[in-house]
Amino acid sequence: MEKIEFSRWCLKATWQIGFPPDRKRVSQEYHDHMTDHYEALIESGVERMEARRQVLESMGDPEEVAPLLAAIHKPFWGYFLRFSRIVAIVLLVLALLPIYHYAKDLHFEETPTLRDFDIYSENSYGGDTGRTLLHLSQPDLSFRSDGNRFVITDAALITTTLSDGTSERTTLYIRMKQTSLLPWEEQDVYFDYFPVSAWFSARDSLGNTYPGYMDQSGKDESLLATTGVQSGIFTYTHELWINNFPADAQWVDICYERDGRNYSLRVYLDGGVSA
Amino acid sequence: MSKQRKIRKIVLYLLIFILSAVVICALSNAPSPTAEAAFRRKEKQQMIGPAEIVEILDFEDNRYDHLLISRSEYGYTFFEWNDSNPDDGVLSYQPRSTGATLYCTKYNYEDMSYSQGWLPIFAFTDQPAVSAKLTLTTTQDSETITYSMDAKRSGAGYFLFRWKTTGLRGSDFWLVQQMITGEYSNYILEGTTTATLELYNTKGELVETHQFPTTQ
Repeated sequence: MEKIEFSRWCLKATWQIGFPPDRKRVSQEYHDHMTDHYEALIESGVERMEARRQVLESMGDPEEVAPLLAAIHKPFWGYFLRFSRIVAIVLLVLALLPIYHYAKDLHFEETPTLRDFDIYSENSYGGDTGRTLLHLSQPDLSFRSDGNRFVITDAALITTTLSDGTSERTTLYIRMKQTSLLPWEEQDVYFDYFPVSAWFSARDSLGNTYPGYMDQSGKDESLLATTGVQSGIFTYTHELWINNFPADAQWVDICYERDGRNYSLRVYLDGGVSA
Repeated sequence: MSKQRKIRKIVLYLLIFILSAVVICALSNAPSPTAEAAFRRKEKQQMIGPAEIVEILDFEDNRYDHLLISRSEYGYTFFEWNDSNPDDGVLSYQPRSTGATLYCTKYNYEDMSYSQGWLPIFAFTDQPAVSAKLTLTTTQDSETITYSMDAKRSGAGYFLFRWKTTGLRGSDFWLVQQMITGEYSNYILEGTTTATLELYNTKGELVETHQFPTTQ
């Protein structure tokens, strides 16, 4: 009986609180307080009816209390909390949606196979007569520039029989990974697009030079051709190749020499697995 | 929940909001807040600079509204963009040549319809010359044509030549552009181009002459 009366008092006292969760919480607090007070009076020997009357009297008129409680518990913070929670959750979900790309960043590359090198070369159209996946025995084929880390991950020499059926040519393939913690500074993926490797050049141990794709001084047959693909949120993979590469060259330097930068990675061409 | 707890939670959600927004921006190549920020981003993408901005021109000439000119110890960088989207701007880099450096904005065939009939050619030099004369000589099928133009030194220290491009012979426009920019062209161009830059002092005396293309 007393619990119903306490609940009625709480309902009347809190109905003007604007934010429903606050209303419920305040009502519960008052109800607990009244119950504690009531039980204390009973324990001290007060009769039940008298104890209930004293508790309700001590709480005052709920009609007078209601506007006071509403003034204290304004609904703004409650609704703002609810709104900010929804926005944060929606954005978090959107940020986590491309989990596949994150996974690609974390993915450890398997050992490349000889068949991995099937990119935009004429080799794709002719018949291969021999492929050699090079051993990259150098400890660190990498350099850092402008917040990026470039590392040569794979290289291969591929011999192709040309369409006349008699002559052969050798193509050098190199795969290079670019990593940046600021993906928007990594590549321009929309307009007037060229990967930064288009400004890379090469030279071999025989003294031949291979200008980058963006350097018009290079003739088609001696270019360091390149293409690239976004291979993760933070990584970009470049594939570079030189057609008509001399098979007897011992090494090749992959260079970036522009606006004060001067980097060179030497790839030795001996050794490897033939197929 | 007390007001303090609510505020603490709101701050937590705000942090989640900011972190998520940063990730989403990173994934979507978020637009640069200013044209200069777009320029700096392009520099990073092409691994050049950071260059000192020399001047920003409101460029009535062509496809783009503005042209930013900047220089570093090793070369000159040019950034063209439209107000509507600076991130779609085009960055070009021209390494310094000994004595003087030439540069022109680069067109594709598709862009030519936006041209107002002249090609801006810039000349940079450390010489304290006040005026300059640029002579372009193009040869096709053994026939040689010469184009000459004059320019005064700008306040920012360069010469801007306005080469009228209406009524030019055949591939002259593309030959000149390729010779100056030094960039690979998709088009087969038969012919040769040379340029001569003459620099004059305040008395109108010739102080220096430069030939292009320079021998490497």
